[in-house]
Amino acid sequence: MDVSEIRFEPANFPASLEKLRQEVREFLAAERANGSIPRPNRVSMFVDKAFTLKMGKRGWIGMTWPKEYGGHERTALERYAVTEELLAAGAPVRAHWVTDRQTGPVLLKFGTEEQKREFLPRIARGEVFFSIGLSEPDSGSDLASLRTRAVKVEGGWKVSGTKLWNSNSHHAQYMVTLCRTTPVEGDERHKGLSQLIIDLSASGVNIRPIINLPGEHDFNEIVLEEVFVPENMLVGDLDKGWFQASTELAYERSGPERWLSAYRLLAELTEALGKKAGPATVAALGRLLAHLLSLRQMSMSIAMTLESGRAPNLEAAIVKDLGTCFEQEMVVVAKDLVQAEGLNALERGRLVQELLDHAQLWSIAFTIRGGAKEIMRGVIARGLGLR
Amino acid sequence: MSETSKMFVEAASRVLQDWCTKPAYEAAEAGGIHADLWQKLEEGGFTTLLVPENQGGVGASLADAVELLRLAGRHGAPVPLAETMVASWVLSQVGVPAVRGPLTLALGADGSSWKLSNSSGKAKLTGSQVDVPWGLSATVVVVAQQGEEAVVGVVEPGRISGTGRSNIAGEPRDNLAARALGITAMAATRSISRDQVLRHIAIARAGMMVGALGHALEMSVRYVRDRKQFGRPLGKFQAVQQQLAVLAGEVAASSAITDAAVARVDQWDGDLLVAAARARLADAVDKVSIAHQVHGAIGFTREYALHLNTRRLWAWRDEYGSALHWREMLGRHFIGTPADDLWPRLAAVGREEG
Repeated sequence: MDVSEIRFEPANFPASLEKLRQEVREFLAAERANGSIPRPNRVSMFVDKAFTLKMGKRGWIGMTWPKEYGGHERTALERYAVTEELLAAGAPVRAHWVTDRQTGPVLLKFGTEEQKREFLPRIARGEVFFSIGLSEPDSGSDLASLRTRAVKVEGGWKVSGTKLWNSNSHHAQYMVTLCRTTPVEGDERHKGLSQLIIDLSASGVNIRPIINLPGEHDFNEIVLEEVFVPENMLVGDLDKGWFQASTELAYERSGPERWLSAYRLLAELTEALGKKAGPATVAALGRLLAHLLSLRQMSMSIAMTLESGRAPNLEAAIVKDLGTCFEQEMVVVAKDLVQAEGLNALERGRLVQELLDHAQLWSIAFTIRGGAKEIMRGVIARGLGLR
Repeated sequence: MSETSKMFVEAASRVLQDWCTKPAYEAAEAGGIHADLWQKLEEGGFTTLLVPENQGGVGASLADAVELLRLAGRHGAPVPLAETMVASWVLSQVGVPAVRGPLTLALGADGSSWKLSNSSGKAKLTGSQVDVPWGLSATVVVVAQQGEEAVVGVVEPGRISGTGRSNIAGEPRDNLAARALGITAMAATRSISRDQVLRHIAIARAGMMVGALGHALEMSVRYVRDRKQFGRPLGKFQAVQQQLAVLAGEVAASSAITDAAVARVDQWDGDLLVAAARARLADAVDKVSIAHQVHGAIGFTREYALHLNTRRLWAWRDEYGSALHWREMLGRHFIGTPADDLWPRLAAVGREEG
């Protein structure tokens, strides 16, 4: 392809979004003021189910979905604006975040009428959460090699296998599980996979916590032992699960969370450095902000593309790669700025130091989760015509 | 791209293709301008794109001009095209009659500035500046901020004394000095500022950098598809693919923020977006070594054209405001902002109201 075709359409957001942004900011400020949510001292999102219910009441979950399924028929750009505001504030939206971002759209696109009516309104109210059942012990980046099997039985399937790195499953009621429904060999292995909704309270489901590097319980291992899944829990078409799961990953990769995951560190650092910082510090901060503003342009451009109905997979891979690498570099730069300005010894530097320590540990995950950096670069290389 | 832009880009593409050849680069390396190439650019109307139609120009937008400059950057066009475009626009803004190009811009720099004065009806110029593009061979348009006014002076080629020098790409970058030098024309205005002119030429240069980066990437992709080692094209090796994917990301990011800055150069956030674009581009330039790495030895020669882009990128990175200058400007604007105010301030960039 002609490389110059990788051009992001300039983002031009309608002014009407400002009212919505303001609404979100005022809500978050009020929640902060009345002590419902803290001023963040860590960079990862955390689970606050009461807060998630409030989000549901506000209409900020399932924003773009049809009203008949509990959605709010807002535009993709409106959803994008709310997403940015929540990330920038470090709001505790972990409980519903992935379900809203990935599961809802997949059910809406591929789910049966019955599934949509059953799940979407509850998701939009902030009551039901899904786990994403993709990775396995021997299938990480090479997802199509997965071994979880669904064997056809009377009225449904019996599913056996192990899913791994399931974030947040200990809070979730269901898991959209990619599994093999038809045995195939070699090059054909992308075929014969299906997505089944598994009730995590069903018999044969065992969830084991895995404590992550920052010392938190986010990951789980889910062992499935002949779990019965009724026929009506098949999402979309039998053996078409690969395509459906790929669609889901495009939602995961293109959002502003790829460059706003550790944003609280940048915000607190910018404040703590103060106006008297030396010129080298000012320039180092300016360099980070230049990256952030560039990523935002690209991300908004993608949001506009999504609005028009096109799936910008190449652009999403570029933003994910650049965004996650930027955030890792931000941690390194922040360390030196904290030292250069002596913030480590000052009271006003304490929050920055806490965020920095937490960001150091979490930032390792940024270039791994949601498609490893190497996989993203493979997608980009394919776009360049090299694969 | 607008229709005007498309038309001009197609026409300019042919001129640049035909005339950006060895003699043109050699002319620049000798401190001058290739007369035929320049004549073709003038004839095509490319040099007066930004001048209003009622003053004999094309009246195109800056976005249109930058589209064309991307192309000039791809070709490493060894002429002061961006300077002439912006300088002609400056003259049209202050009411100085059009001057035939090539023109260059002398905006002063940190630690040196120009002073224009008018004594008994005679315009005089005093001051000095290093690294003025084609400063000794082009008509120099000096812009100095004197209080509320931007004062503009026009100095005919050869009138100003100086030392001929060149940047790392072999483009003339001359040191100029004048003391009470009588000059051709002078005018003052409050309708534009020296900083605004700097923003325009800085983002014009950014467009050229994006073009040069894109071309370095394209040459690299083409090369690794053709070049075989160990029995297969280099591009089939993952190590090579991954490196070029990184470079592609740099080009895409630079292009996106440059487009945004061009669109808003005269808005309240124009200086912030230009600063962001130039700061982002500097980091992209620092990764253009990837293009050389995948080329191997052939890219490390004057015979192979990659250097026409990469040497310019290394030079342009710090021209019309160094990378450090733009980073500091952006950082200065935001540093010390209360943590919860930072996002609303950042998110306002690109929006109508500040």
